[in-house]
Amino acid sequence: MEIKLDQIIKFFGSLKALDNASIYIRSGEIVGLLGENGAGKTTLMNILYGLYRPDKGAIFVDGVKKHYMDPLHSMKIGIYFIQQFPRLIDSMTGTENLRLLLREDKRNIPDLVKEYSAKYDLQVNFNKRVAEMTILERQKLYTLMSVILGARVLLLDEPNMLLTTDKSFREFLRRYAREGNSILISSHKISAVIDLVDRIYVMRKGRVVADIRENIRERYDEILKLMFEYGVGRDKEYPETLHSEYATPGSRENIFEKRILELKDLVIREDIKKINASVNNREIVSIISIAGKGDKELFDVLVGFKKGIRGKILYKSVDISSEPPYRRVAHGIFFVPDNKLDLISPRYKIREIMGLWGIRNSEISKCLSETSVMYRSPEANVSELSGGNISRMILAIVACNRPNLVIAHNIFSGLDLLGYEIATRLIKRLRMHGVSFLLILNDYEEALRISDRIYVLNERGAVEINLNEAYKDPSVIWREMVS
Amino acid sequence: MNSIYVRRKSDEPSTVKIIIISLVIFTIIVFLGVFSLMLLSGYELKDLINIFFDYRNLLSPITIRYSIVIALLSLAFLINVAGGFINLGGEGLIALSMLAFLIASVYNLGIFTAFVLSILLLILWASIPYISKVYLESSDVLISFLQNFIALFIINHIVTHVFRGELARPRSPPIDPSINLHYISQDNILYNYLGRVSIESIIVLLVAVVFLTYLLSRTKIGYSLRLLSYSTKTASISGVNIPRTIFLNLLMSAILISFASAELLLGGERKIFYNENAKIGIGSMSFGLGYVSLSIAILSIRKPYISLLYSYILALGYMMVFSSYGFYRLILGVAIVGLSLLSVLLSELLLRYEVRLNWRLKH
Repeated sequence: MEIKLDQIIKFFGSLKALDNASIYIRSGEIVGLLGENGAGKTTLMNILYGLYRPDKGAIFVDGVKKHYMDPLHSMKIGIYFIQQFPRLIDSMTGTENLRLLLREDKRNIPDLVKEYSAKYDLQVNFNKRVAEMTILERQKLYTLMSVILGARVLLLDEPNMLLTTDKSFREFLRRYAREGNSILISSHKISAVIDLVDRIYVMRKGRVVADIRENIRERYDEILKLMFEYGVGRDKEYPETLHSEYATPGSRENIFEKRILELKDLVIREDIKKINASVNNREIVSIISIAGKGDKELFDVLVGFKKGIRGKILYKSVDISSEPPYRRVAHGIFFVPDNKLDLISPRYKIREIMGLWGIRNSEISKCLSETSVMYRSPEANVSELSGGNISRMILAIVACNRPNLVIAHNIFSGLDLLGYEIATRLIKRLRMHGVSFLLILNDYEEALRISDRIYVLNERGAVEINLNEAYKDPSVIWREMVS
Repeated sequence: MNSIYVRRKSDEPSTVKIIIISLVIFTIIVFLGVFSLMLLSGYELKDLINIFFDYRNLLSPITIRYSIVIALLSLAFLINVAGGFINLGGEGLIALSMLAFLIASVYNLGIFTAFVLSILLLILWASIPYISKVYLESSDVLISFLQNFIALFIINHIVTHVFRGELARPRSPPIDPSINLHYISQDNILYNYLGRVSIESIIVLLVAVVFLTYLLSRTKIGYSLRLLSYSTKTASISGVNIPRTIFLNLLMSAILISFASAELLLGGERKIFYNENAKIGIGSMSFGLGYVSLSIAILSIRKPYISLLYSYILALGYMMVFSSYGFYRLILGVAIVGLSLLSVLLSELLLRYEVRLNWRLKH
């Protein structure tokens, strides 16, 4: 299927989200759509899928001109959109969600899933409830669902973590494209897509500023410059200075005074042994795990959504394991879930969300500028913000709210390079003001670049990693993760 | 038609747009619907024109009184809806509140205790579906709908067996004169326009409109309250004290419902009665009062002051029903509820949703 978006213009109020954006995708191609948070990537995908209607411009599907698309029609002709936070029915399992979308219910769904999983070597647990899945699992689930439903064009919105942590997913995309299907991947992370795509479009401030077709792998710096108007940190993908002050052994004792959080013999799943871990005052501790291997359960138990099977959660030596979430928040713990929309309601105005966290109207713009959130007005709905800007907004709230402890699940997900740089600097700065961090991450490189201590979550519980060894050979962490 | 696509718009419509579109839809569906039904039911066109274009209804004391009752109930349900709680048991709540006034009357407890009793009873009653929804993920709509029948059954039993005032018909004894509100004196010029409306109800209504508009859109408590309608998970992770928020929600709505039922009971016949057609002691006005108020609440959810306008229009609709007679009054009463709900749904769809119908002709 050949798709062309021609001179698309889209306004949100007075904000010009897309400014004459044009792209095309041919059969069998993997096309990258790169840009910083708020560049217009998701808006363009929403228009192609039919969730938004363009103010001007046209869409051509196999040469047939359309002024706008319609999601039902898109699905019918084989265009499927895997959103950054896939909208599935949480209370149902993957199988039940698939059954809802499958027009012909003649075939046995487990057989279909088995057949396609084997064909593309893509393992997804369809029997799990969506509510219990991490974002990565949901993205993978919806991708496989789309393939089973007959997708010919896959639109993948920011699947960065999947692309960087799951080799089988990358292989699947290559194979799927070789079969004549088209794939459009939006991303802010060049390294996630550069060796996967056939072509790259670079977007900035709603415009397509470049169409890169040749020698893509050698043009990393050029793409980076095109994406970011003001440039980013010295180390391209990740700024190098993040842990330098604190990562040196011996310097920690002066900074970390007392224990803030302690997980004592905590059992979150029967197949994972007791977790013993701690976070001290002003410390950044990461717990790394493979997506779906206990990370979500651990976060849910720490928030209070679920009860641990056994064990205790001690916050400043007080057992909070039976307290409801709001009491934990009242203690000064700020929780950032994997699915950012579980924290920030898209139905609210930006002003209202900030107000919910006690940030006054007069402080909103100053607060949001802490993390360079791009927004039209405090009166704009959160639904107008891109996924990356929602992540930045959460960090801005943390900065202005100054909690005692932040417990976050994949806090960097959705952030572009600039956003990542801002986030890491902010975390460092906040720690100087007495904020401690427990980061549950799937990406060990992210953990290594910011943490004072690292635990790996595997079947043996939480295993602490020797950071000196890990700096020399980061694969130590990976080996522990898969052990 | 090949497909239909519905998407909620991100922008909230302007007040002017809401008023114009809703008024047009209300007029077309409710007025014309009732008009057609009456015509089909055997009314003469000439009589109908007299009923429908009776300008005296526009500012009659009865219209104003009904508007105030509907507005108080609408605001009560608006608070519930804002917190994600759809209460279909409006009439049952009014019945229970009236029961509290009756108990206070029988045991000489005074007006203040009557209100406290009513508020407590309503909080307890409404907390069943709300708490079940939040903590057990059960259907608040279904539970409150069933509760409505139970409440009406209780009232039936009370006025038939426990506190029966008359032998001929199941009615409660009259409410003691000590349990009363303050009314405009008949010498006052305002009496010609407002009639027997309590001063307390007017004040509570006006304060509630301003207070709720501010509370829901400008305060942390209001944001917390609304967050429950998005997701309990989000509310709890945002530090919202869910039990306290539920209590606050129910408390505010219970106060307003208590004033509405006091207005109906104390300003009217001052007796609670139960019969097949009118159900409880609010005469013919009981036809789907809860459903109508709930539909107004849904339509004016982001702008509570708009509920005043809708309440007035619906009160005019009720006046039409009262102008009919006999068996038709019942049919029209039911029809007006259905039509007003339909008009609310349509207005909501036109104002807040983008609807696309894709037609493809078969060649």
